[in-house]
Amino acid sequence: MNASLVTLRYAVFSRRADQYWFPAAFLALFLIMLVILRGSVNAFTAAQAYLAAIIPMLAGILSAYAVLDDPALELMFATPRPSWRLLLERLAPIFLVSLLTALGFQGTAAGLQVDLSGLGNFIVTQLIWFCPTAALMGLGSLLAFVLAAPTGGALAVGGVWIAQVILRGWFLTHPLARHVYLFYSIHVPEDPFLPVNQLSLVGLGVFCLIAACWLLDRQERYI
Amino acid sequence: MTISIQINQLKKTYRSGAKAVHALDGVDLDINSGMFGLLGPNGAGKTTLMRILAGIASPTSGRVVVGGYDISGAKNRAIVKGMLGYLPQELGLYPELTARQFVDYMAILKGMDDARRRSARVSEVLEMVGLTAQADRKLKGFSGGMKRRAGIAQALVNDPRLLIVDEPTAGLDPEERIRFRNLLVSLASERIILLSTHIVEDIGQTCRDMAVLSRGQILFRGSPNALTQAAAGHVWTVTTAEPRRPDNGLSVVSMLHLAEGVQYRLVGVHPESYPGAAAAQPGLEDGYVWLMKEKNQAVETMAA
Ligand SMILES: Nc1ncnc2c1ncn2[C@@H]1O[C@H](COP(=O)(O)OP(=O)(O)O)[C@@H](O)[C@H]1O
Ligand SMILES: [Mg+2]
Repeated sequence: MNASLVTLRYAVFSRRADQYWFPAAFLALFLIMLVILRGSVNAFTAAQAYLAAIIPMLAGILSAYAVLDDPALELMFATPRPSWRLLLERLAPIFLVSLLTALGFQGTAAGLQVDLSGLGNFIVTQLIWFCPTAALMGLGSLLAFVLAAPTGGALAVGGVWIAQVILRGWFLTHPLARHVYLFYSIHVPEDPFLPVNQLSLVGLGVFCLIAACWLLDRQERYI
Repeated sequence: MTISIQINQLKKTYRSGAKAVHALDGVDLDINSGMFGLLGPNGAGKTTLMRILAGIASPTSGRVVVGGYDISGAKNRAIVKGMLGYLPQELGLYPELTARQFVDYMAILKGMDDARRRSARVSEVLEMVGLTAQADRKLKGFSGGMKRRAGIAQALVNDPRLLIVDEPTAGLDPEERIRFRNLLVSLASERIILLSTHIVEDIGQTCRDMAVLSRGQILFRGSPNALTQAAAGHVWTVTTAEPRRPDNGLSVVSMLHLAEGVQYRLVGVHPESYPGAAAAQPGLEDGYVWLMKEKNQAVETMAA
């Protein structure tokens, strides 16, 4: 097997199992909701909330734990593996879980004949979860390193998520803040600025990841 | 081919608020022989020094050169990490992986991408540490000694020229401890092994060269024999029926319960208040206690 595939396998199996139970539990919960709400417009709303809000939140929280919640962190640091690779190798399983739950959810919805075509075509639908997921994965990683604590990072990224849920009106009308509003695609899907918002969410994620790599290089902060 | 380590005026200060801890306070040390022992009480700065040598922590000031590479630069640090095997004091492992998977994972992180060669090397190091029979068992079922051996296996997988082991015998039972020491000795012929410990026996039985570190400073550098001889003429045994343990400026190194009372082994300048004291041959532990006494440093002895 290819070395990066083996690495991914180990990165998956060295993690604590609850990291995968969480997303699985939320997926199951929202699929049950789909079954119950089938036929009503609420099914569409639930699907939108799952893709655009729940998947990104879970990815952000798990990202905060991705590197620092590692029992063998000091061993990891003693290897010549560069920080960016360590970080990306740990985030890959989380992204994979997001991707699989998103596609699994859409597939099951189609099987249940819940109409999600209102979300847009296939690619547009994937952007709905991908962009905020990228932003929160970056933010979760960065905040965990800033605070040098995985749980602190998870709480902080959860706090950002909740603040955005609560301050919807402010974010949607602020000329700058709206570009980093996570739930733009839910509230104003037709807005011509949606692509700008999505691009800047991905940009934010990438920026956070670069800053996170820089911070991860300061290894002694975390052991 | 062996490598050497040069440490010059190394300082490491931890700051938390207004308080500053000088974990390393001007350490000068050259290491170039097979098995080197770093002895010191808890809090001496051993782990801090090991982490700096492993490239995980950075010095506050001073110069560290490992195998010709000054570790102040990030690039050199990566090179040094590549020729290093490291067993940290707090060894955390992945409970769900088997020993073989764990060592394989570490081998990948150390850059061994070729699957066939890696698999052969992983089997080889598991054999070296005596874990072949348990290689495919999950780490969560391992005893302390087995975990430590799995830790050594991962440290050896890249055939490092420098092996750093930080308090590897702490928490092992006496039998595991002896096995582990023998394992280290068998590995020392081909590489530098830097062993830190607060247990005197660990050094006496394994190292020909050593240093004593206390409060961030090197108090002694030389052979275990030289440290032992430093206590010559300052070691006594006293047997007393009284339950009171001797003091008067003497340190109790050990005590032995005999039929006629308790026999104390004492280290100090002179046992004036004990006319029955008999001079004894010094051992390494006596040498260590004498050194710490001479330098006015507290040391945990047998006294309880
Ligand atoms: N990350 C840290 N932050 C603050 N102080 C530390 C840190 N690590 C070690 N110290 C302090 O530095 C001193 C030396 O510690 P250490 O190197 O762990 O000693 P040893 O390994 O010999 O027991 C101790 O006083 C310890 O409390
Ligand atoms: Mg220590």
